[in-house]
Amino acid sequence: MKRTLTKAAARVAAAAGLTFNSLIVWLNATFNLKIPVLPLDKQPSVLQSLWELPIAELPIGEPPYDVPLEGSWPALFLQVGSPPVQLENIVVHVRQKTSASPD
Amino acid sequence: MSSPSNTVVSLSATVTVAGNQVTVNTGDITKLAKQGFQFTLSQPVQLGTIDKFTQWLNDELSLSIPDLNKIEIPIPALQSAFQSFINGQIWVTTLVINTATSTYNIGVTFTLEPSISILGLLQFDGIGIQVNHSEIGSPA
Repeated sequence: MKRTLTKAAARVAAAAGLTFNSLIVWLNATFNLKIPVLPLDKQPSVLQSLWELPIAELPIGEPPYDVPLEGSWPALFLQVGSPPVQLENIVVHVRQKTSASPD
Repeated sequence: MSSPSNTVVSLSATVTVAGNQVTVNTGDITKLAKQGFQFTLSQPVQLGTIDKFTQWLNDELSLSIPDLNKIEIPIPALQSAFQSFINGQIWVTTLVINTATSTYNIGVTFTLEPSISILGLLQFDGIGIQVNHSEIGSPA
């Protein structure tokens, strides 16, 4: 099931303090993973910025998870003479690796 | 519940840059700690000047792309053309970065308006550059 929320819902959830880091914590717990969480030592600042972005809410159902959010990701692209980069949404793809799958 | 080695997690982020929607795809983020962060652009995007773009890559991703302003062009007729290139707006057509290995593959194009004519013989409407850096011994 693909999860889509309104921007108003995203604002409510952001006010509740959920961030992309919360999503990573949830992914680790749900799928028994070890994806790094904050603080991200020895990682580029572009990742730190992403991990701190507010998200709407934690996904439910089956992947892929469509995670809408509001906010800019200023480290990703240049800001020279253009409006801030607006990050519209993130789709999280979770799949099981098969024996035929490349790493 | 799946074991860590059997699960792959990747991200597709949709961002708006100067009114254009661009999709950024990452590699498997479950390997972030060991293999670093890899991401690619799914389509060309205008990203300002190539000079500032390479500065940003160096600052944000700890890469070591040479300063384009320090490249010496020995042919006077080409110096102004090169200066126009590094100061002009560029489109990034290829961008693959691996922060763990500090390898990158960057392709940019620049449309010259007006065209640059050199000695009345050569006329350039556009320039494209592909920069690739791989670890020694790694596959191309």
